[in-house]
Amino acid sequence: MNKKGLPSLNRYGIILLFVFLCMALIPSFFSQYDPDERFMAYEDPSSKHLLGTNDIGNDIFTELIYGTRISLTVGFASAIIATFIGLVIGLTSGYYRGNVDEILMGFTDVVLMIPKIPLIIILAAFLRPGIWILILVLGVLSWESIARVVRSKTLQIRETGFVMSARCMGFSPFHIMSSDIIPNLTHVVAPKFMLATAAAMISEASLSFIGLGDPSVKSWGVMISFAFTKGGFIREMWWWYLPPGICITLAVISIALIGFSFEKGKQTVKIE
Amino acid sequence: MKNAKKKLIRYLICIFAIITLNFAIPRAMPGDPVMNLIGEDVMVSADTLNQIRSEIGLDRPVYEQFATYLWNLIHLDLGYSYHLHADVASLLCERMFWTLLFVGIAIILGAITGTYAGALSGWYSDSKISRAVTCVGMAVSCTPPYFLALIFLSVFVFRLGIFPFKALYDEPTIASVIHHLALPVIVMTLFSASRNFLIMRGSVIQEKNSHYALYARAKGLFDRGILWKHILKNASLPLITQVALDFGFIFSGAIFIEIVFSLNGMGTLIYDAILGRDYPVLQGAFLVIAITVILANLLADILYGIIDPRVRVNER
Amino acid sequence: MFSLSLKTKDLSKSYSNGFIRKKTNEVFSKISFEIPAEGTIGLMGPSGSGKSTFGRIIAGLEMPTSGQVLYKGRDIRTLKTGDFREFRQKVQMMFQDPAGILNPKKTIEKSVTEVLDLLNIPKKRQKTEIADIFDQVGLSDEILNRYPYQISGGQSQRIAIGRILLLKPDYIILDEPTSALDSSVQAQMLHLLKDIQSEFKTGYLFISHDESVVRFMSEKIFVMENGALKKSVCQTL
Repeated sequence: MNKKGLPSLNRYGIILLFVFLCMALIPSFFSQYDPDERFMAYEDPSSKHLLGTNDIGNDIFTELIYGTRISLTVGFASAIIATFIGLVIGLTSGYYRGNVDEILMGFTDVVLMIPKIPLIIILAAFLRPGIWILILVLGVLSWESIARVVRSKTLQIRETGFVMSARCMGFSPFHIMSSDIIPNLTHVVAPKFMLATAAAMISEASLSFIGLGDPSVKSWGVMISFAFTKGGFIREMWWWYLPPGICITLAVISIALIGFSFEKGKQTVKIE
Repeated sequence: MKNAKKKLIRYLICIFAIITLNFAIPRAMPGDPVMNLIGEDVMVSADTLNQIRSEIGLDRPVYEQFATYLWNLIHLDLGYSYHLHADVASLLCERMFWTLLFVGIAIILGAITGTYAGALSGWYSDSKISRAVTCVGMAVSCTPPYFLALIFLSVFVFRLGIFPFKALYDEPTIASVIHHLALPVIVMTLFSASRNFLIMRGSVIQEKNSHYALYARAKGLFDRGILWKHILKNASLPLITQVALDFGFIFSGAIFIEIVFSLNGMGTLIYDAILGRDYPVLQGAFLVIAITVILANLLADILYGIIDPRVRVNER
Repeated sequence: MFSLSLKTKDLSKSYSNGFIRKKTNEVFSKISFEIPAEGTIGLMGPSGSGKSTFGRIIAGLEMPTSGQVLYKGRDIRTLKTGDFREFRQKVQMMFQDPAGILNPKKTIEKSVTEVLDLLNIPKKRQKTEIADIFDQVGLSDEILNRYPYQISGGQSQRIAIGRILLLKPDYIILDEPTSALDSSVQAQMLHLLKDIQSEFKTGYLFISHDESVVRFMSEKIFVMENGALKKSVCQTL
């Protein structure tokens, strides 16, 4: 930990994530084509098409670059939803304690035990696949571990001198929670947030693979699914299905590394 | 005792919640509830449709429907698949066996290899090999399981032709089964081992740091063998909970791996059901999978309660 | 009629564990006590005897198991919002643990101005108020832009007192205010507390396990032992 109380973030994680963010924000810098432009189908990689073309002639490299923003958005958006719900529930539970705590935690425990992926599959199968529905479902099913961690930290913070002072002086619970407790929660919430992002990205890829994704938005997962169903696999077009998969792995690794470094920042002594 | 009671109640509530969710979801979703309950793209005449409609009893009040639903459940009647023309329950039974077999083997193998490798890696945390293996472990645990399976499939099945393409066996001999299941089990094991590896490694490193200073001071009593055993013991307890919590996640991963390798287990059943919108199968599968996972968690919790001496001491 | 008075009546506190075999832990029972409007009462006792809990209940931060805390003759639990807010402001508490006495994520300035905002003091006047208070507690305003980890324990303590004084309380309950400070700083703090008392005419309930410190500060001393309050034999000089 350096002086200002910021964790020393993992270099590689940041660099990787930065690269992906660039791909997401300024895709035209990396590729001169449009992802929907059509050329000759099933072409092998060449100097004109770095990763060849798919079954309807789109340039795969371009698809890859443009897919970044979708996969990252799904990841971060779900994590934001999950974090928001987790914060609200964890804070309320930890601050008010007593019966409120018992009920909320009981509820959280039950939700924790329900296996998510089967539930997501069945929900996604009934609902028409759409990217925002996917994000919503993923977010709403991942808040429990955040809630638990927020609650236990809130219980701790609640007993510190400054929070007790604040209660004593008559600040409203809302003020105390937002101004005193939440800023001191970042250390525990940040790694969980990153974890949630990573999990959401993997889940989205898996769901897209079995056809429950949103085919109109070409995320990396959808690319792999198309490769599988439109003959890319049989034709051994590894340049179609490997790159998106590798991208997913790399993106998740970068997020995981950053998440771990938030955790490490908390520990005082570390002899590696 | 109080804790155990609380936990048991929560498990029961959870199971009940799942049963209720299973009942509620098809009825709450957009679209014609009859279609939701029998599956779309089903070719039935209008007469049969009406017959089904009255059989299912959508016109009756909700609590009656729920009661019928529960009644059927107790009789292990999970509905009928109009796509596959079979009882959902019997379909699930057949498929579940294979899935459990392959998941079970993988979890055990993964727990053993992952834990052992993780402990070694944590103990010798500075060596190059340890760091390299950790990187590999990280990469594997960050990959979507089906993608890992795809890579293995393309390399070992298509390119090298070592392993067969699909199905569980060519002839019903054990050798054939092993030949077919080998690759999926390997992939699944890698996946579950990588998670156990990382956790065990972290846990051993932590323990090592906490005991090291203590023992370094008491140099005379410093015995690597005893230290190693002691650390292993302490670090293994959280592993049991981890395996329990992970069971759901790993089981879900297994479904995808099955799909990739075209094995005749729950995975392909679900995949086909999704394609054909065969909702009764999906519902039945959800119920069975969810309850299996919860029971596995419960079992692990009980085991943990028996093994962990700290837990026993506190109940006085 | 009752003007200013803060007292407890038959205050009891106990904790119970479990519901298979109920174990009740009695901390203290049936304590009736009054904190004077001016002057200091000392409260001593071994650790774990419940002195801090007692203090917190009087400050309204914890609920007693039975009994009442009476402010201006009325049970604080029955006070309506406006009156309760008055109680909150006029009865303050200072906690031990200088490390946790200020929010580590807020600058000193923020920690102080939020109290001024709570009192609805307009921005223009805030600067002078801060200057006054800092004068009072003996701090220079160069620490305003720092964070708690950048100042010493003694300085943190002073900021805490400063924040409390902004509310102009009638009573301050001090829970081991000097236990975590070293002796030279301790002496400064005690003198500061005495100065504040003579200037603002506040009543103190001084809780500490350190006998010499309690004797220095208090006119009357009580000891909490075995769940009851006994008047100490040794009076101050």
